[in-house]
Amino acid sequence: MSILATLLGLALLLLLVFAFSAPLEALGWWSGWSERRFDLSRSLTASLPPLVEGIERDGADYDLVYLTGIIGYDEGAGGKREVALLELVEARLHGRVQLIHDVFPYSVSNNPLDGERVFRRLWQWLDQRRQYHQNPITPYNWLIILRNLMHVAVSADPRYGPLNNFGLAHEIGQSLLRHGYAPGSNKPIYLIAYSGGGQMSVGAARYLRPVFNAPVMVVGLGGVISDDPGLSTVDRVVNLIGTRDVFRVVSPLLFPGHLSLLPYSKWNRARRTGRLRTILVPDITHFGRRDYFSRSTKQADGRSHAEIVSEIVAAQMALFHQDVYNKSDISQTDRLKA
Amino acid sequence: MSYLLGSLILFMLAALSLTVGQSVVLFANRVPPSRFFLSVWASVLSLMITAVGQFIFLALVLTLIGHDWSLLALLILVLISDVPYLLGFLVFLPYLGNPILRLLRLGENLVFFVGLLSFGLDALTTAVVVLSMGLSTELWRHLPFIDPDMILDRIWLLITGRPAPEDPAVLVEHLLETGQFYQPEEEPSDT
Repeated sequence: MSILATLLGLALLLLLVFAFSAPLEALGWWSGWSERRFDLSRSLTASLPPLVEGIERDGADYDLVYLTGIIGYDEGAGGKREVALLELVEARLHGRVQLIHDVFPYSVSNNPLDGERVFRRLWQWLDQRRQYHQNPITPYNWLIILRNLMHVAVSADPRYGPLNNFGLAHEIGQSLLRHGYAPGSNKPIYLIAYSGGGQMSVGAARYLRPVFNAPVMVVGLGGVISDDPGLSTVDRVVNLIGTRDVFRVVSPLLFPGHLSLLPYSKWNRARRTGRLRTILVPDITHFGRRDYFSRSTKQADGRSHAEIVSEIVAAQMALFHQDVYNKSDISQTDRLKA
Repeated sequence: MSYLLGSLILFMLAALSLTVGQSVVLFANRVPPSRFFLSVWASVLSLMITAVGQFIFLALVLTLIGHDWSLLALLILVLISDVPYLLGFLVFLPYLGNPILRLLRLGENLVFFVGLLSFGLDALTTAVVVLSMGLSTELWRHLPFIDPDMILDRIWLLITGRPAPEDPAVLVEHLLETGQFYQPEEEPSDT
């Protein structure tokens, strides 16, 4: 009993440490107290960052930014499974796709856990240790999840959220420009996000949209999204939720704005106006072998979870693309629906 | 007298804890480190002014309804009503901060309620007095002859050298519109 109490006490202590330190990153960045401070000379409108080698300006039909889930560790797409899903989406879209996944969403300044950090070695060690475990429920994973979860809370907080989300929007914007997005082109921006990345995307979209004056679509894969003011700004949010995803039940408890008792919440307004759509996907769980990225778990029709999810994502993106340009690109949409 | 001193210490600690909990405003307004601790004390002073307002309100109400009250007891009650704010540092927690602040405010009103009951008031009168005090703090901001916000802003400016803090969302909007961080306006010089 005493061991259990000690473990619980330690867990609570860790939770508090992560919770109290999470807002400091955004606050230090904004106030100029930390070394990684916001630099106005990097303003989006002031100058364009150099293009990534081999990429030309305005060369893509779809500019797609992927934000990883709270299990993410660096600015990459999070893992092979996530990249594989994105490639499936890319293959199903009719047109050139610029896939961007170099933004770590749980840092205001795109500073990954193995970046310029005091506890860099600790995060590296945790990442190395978790590679040995197949099971995602390990203490090594949980420490990273807990840390990133607190940053989702920062984004959802009405006090810290504006600062944090503005910083993230700035980093997403910089990455878009590096990958050839042409400012002023009014081309739609697509944000695909897994889990807590959903909140980060909607939060960032609040500022991304006015800065680029471009339509923004957020696609959540089990997206955990609060009653964020960004829901009033973003043009469309499509959230895919597995019927066995725990957040389908937990989200209304975490975010009271989701309850139908509060019809004037930003969430419910967005739903009423059709800007927020939830698509239920059978049998998919949030974590584990039956998650959104699974290529081994197949449904009755023989398609894997990754195939089903990529089809829905691509179809929704194509629909939005069509709505934006008001094109009669019916054949593509029909093909994707089929 | 020792009770009064103890209450005063508790009040100061609670005010300090709440100010730390609400320090997002200081960071958001880019208060430099050299001014940061002065700004914390400016917040403590603002809370003291609120406490003075509460004291005056209760003294007037108790006198008007013809109830006997002692200066020392009322002072102690006003000071210890802020004891829930000893947990004010928890307001810093992301996402949970605002609900925690509401709970602490409820706790403050409960202390007033219990305290006034101990003065010998009946439950209904006590409830009306506590509710009225809450309402009056909102109403006195709209009085034509006094602007408490202006007074608090002046104190803030005097101590920190910066105008009253702005809401973080407003600051970001300002940056988006102008491309510049919010810069406090210079005070007009007398010369």
